[in-house]
Amino acid sequence: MKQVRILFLLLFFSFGINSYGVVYESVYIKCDSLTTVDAVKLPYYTFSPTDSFVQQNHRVELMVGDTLDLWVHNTDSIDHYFDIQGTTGVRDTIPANDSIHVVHQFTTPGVFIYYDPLKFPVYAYMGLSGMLLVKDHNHASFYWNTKEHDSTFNYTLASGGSVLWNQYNPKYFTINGISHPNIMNNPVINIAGNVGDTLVLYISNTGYGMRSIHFHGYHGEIMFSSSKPATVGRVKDTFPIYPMEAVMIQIVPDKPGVYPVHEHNLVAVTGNNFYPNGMFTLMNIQP
Amino acid sequence: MKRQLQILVTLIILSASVNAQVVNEFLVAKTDLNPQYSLWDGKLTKLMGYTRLLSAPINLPAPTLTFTEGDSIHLDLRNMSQNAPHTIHLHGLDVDQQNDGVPSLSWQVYHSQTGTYKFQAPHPGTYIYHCHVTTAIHLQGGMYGMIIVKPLSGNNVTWDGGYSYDKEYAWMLSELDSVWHQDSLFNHNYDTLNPMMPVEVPDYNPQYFLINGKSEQQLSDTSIRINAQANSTVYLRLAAIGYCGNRIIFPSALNAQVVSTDGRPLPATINLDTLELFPGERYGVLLKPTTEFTDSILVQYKNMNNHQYKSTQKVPVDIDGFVGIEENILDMDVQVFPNPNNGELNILADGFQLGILELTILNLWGQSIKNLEVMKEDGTPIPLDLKDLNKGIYFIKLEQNNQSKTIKTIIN
Repeated sequence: MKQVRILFLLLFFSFGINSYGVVYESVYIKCDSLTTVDAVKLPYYTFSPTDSFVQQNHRVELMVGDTLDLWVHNTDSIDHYFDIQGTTGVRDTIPANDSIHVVHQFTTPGVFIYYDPLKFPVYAYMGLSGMLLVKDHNHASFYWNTKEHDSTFNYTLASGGSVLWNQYNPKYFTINGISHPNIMNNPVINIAGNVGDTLVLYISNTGYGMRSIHFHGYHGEIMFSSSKPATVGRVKDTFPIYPMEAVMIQIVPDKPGVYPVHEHNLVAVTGNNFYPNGMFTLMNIQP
Repeated sequence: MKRQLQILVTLIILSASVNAQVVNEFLVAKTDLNPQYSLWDGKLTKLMGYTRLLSAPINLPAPTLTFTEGDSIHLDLRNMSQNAPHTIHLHGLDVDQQNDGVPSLSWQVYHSQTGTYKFQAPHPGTYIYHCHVTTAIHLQGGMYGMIIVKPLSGNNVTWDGGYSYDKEYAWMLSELDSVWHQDSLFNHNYDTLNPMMPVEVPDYNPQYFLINGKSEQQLSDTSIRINAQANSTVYLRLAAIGYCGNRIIFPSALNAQVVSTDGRPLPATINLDTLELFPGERYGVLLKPTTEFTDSILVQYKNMNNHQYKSTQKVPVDIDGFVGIEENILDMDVQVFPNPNNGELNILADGFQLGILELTILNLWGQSIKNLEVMKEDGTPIPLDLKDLNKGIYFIKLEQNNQSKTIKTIIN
């Protein structure tokens, strides 16, 4: 009888693993402040996971075939929009202090940016741009939502003013809302694993500038790009990521070691003109 | 049979080991006491950098290090800079942590000390080396150079089983902001126990946009300007190490084809006229001109944050006639007149002896379409009737006693 019960449980879990599911999520458009590496506060928005402001956007994760059942709550006093890159029919307006309900099935793996297209790139730049992952694997994964921040722009845009993007001069560079050295012990950002593991790094560039991310110690393979599909399959140590592009990079370490993974535009490894207070992380590979 | 196989394997291994070997390299890390590096506008600037000799001036970029696939390399770094320690990061070579050149994770070379980096060069391709101590300053200061790993099978092939080429160029793209080239930055604070100690740097607003350390009129340097024959193949190695993005615009007649990036072949080659590369990236590009022309490759530099182009540098491109013309008499005076012409033309061939001259008429692709023998008489132009040819560009090859000269003519 006990054996029958175990068999039933195995069948139940097997069914649960293989079948497509529905992932229920809620995000809240919240306006508050981004606290920089040197404790400066900048006006900032995020899609927070609860009705309290969080400095990084909520990360939404699904498996291929899953259906996303998402409520987007606009707690701001102005109307916002909502869209998910790579989808059609999702884009919608969210009136002030109102909500929308998004239901969408994802049938291909990848990493997609969900964002507010209002006055693009204004509100995406002001923080309303996060990552949505559709996985077809269970490998150890790490997630970088990268942005840069020009204090003057944040204050001007927050007060309803306009800016000249050709004069954009950001001084802060963040991954998931934080910079070096605050990044260093973050397990979502710093890659860790063992020799021979398949490790996956998801990176989105939701800032206005370009990224050029360099891996020490290992080459990685581009498995997905949301806007440059021709680059898939390239094996590289330095990965350019265009604005509003999201990529998936796979690394299989062949040796142990602790190595940096960082921006190679070294201006982006500064924070308010202090090096290395920008996009500088570590990868820790054990034997 | 088994023994023969063993001998064959041994021979292959020995053959490989003849080419791949232990290579010793030596670099000195230095800082200029006075400005000495000449920029395109005549201004001199101070550099930090690597040289092969203590007495040698610092150059931009640092010496190119060339190895063969499979080499075991011992690279000695002697620090004679007086200031902060230095390292060598072997960018893209995927070396072990100990030899990666990151001071907080491996080791650093202090003033008057020497350290040795030991690593392998397993993949043919283009790589970079640079200092990883307070990198933003030391790299901008000039501490960077290129590493080229040649394949075991020979010099003029991209990798074993890859693409062969006739000639190669290597361009390292960077910028220079003279505000950063001051003692106040070069002598920055440094805590040897805390190499990641924050150091203040100025805004980055480069005034000089460099290809192999040169710009503007300096780009006519023969190591940079592309000079090749039509129907030949040029391999152009590109490495970006500045803090700007680069856009390379090739003349379409160069038939540019990207074949590799970051020391690895591309899964599929790409034919293009415009290539973008960003800090730390490398690309291998084949150029396959089929016609004679003169033009420029444009190299643009853009701000990574606001996407504004800061400079466009023009590298001259001279594609000559066609492959296979060896001029034995380079200063021979030969003229065609009128040129262009209607097919009736005259040749003055003063450098040749009196007597029979062999003439070969070739099309743009170097194919022989007509052979003639003409008589050169003293002081008299040689008349030539080519009215049976279609309008177009032709080359006339004159030969006599194993000496030759080729001239171009246009029939219209």
